[in-house]
Order: sequence, then structure tokens, then C-alpha cells
Amino acid sequence: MWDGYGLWRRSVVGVGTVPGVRRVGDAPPPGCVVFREGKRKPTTKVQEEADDEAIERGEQDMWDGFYRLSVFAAPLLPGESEDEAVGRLFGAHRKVKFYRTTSVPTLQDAGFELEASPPEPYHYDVLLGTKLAADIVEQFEGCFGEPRRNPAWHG
Amino acid sequence: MAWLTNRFFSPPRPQRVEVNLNAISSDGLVRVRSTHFARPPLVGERVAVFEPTDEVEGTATVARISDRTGLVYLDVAWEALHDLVPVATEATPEKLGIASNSTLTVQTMTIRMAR
Repeated sequence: MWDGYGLWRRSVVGVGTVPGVRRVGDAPPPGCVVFREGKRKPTTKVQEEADDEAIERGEQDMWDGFYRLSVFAAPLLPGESEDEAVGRLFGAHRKVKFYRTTSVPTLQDAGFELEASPPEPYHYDVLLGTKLAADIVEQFEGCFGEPRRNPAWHG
Repeated sequence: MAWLTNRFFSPPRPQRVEVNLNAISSDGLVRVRSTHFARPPLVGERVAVFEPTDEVEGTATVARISDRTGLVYLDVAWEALHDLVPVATEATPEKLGIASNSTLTVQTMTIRMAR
């Protein structure tokens, strides 16, 4: 049975490198739809998210000077809608009520790059830059469209 | 009697903490600053979590705490997340959107407890 997640995990932890499977730091494949969980949050809250991620990296001696925010991304499967992709990308164990989407070029045009990162096969970090400021966070949030309710959400 | 039993023998309510469900660690836990807790959390403690913008709430277990960074990592019970249930608050004329000199007629209601 094909186990893309297992292959990806093995490549991430260095047990083996599998051609065609993403590794930490990889750029997303072409045609990705980028998903961000939830409605747009207050800027201070998003700044706190990026700041805490940086603190965590510092503790792990992995701080490279770049602030990051969390997204999920993948190309849609043939015939798959964004509503259907939410469950696949965020994983069966994560439950998402609202989501917003954008594209990789939209983020790149705003000056943001993406790189693959754990915890899940579709998780990416958006690199905000070496300075964390309200206008940068607002620029990032402005890349995403209006929130959509996940039709699979049953609250 | 029931009041006494509930007051002294019921387990304390889990503390409630606001979370950002985008703040996930590399192992899938949700990161929260310890300063957001009403009292210092303990590893293994069950807490109530809520996210006000999306109006979502649920439960989580404190998986680990970094004393060095002050970050607390929560293992959220994702499947149990649900819509935020509004909490009843004391009604005031301002909250009800009426003038303070208005006359309100409130019908009384009898609640019969099941035996």
C-alpha cells in the first residue's frame, strides 16, 4: 500500500531519501493551493504565533533569523474542490471549522517564501522575514481570501 | 444536600485557556504561553480550550511545558472540538440594547427537577 506520509517521515528523519518525496525546507510543488486554518485573527495574536515559533526554534538551536507562520498546501487532486481538500490536507486528526486560501505566487509577490516543515505531509512554513512587525503580518493575512466554512465541520 | 455534595466533592472545573489553533509545533501540539493560564498548568492536566474568532471550544491535555521559554504544549482533542457555547452573563440594559428607564415584564418559569 502506498504510504506517502511514511515515506516522507522516513526521508525527514534521514532513514532514507526517497526521490520525489518532499523534505524539510523543500519548496511547494507547482499549482499548490495554500490553506490557512480559521478566520482572520487579530494581528497581535498572529504576531504572537510567529514570535512563539521563533522562541521554540531558539530553544531547539534551530533559529535561523526568520519568523514563520503555519500553512498547509498541496495541488488539488483531479476533480477535487477546496472544500474536499481541507480534510485531506489538515489530516484526519485535525478538525477545521473555517479556512482561507491563497496561491504560492500571491505569497511570493508579497515577498513571502514557503518551505516544507513538519508536522504533516502538507504543512509548510511561510517565511515572513527577519523582522516581525504588524504591517508584515497584515500583508501576509491580506494574501488570503475570505474565510469559508468547512462543510465537514459538525460543531 | 446535593448542593453540599456538588460544592465539596465535585472535581474542580478545568481551567480555561484561549488558544490559536494555527500555533502548532512540529509534533502537532498547540503552543500557548503559560501567562495565558489563570494558574500555573501541570503536565497531564486537562484544560478547556477556546478560540473566540472562530467560536470553537473543546478540551486538551497539557503534554509538556518548557520552563526555559514559558511555552505550554497542548494535546488538543481535535475530534471533540465543537462550536463555542455562549455563556450566560448578567443582563444589563446596555447589553440588552434598551434604555435604562424601560420597563421590562419578565415571566416567571418553574423548573421541575427530575427525581
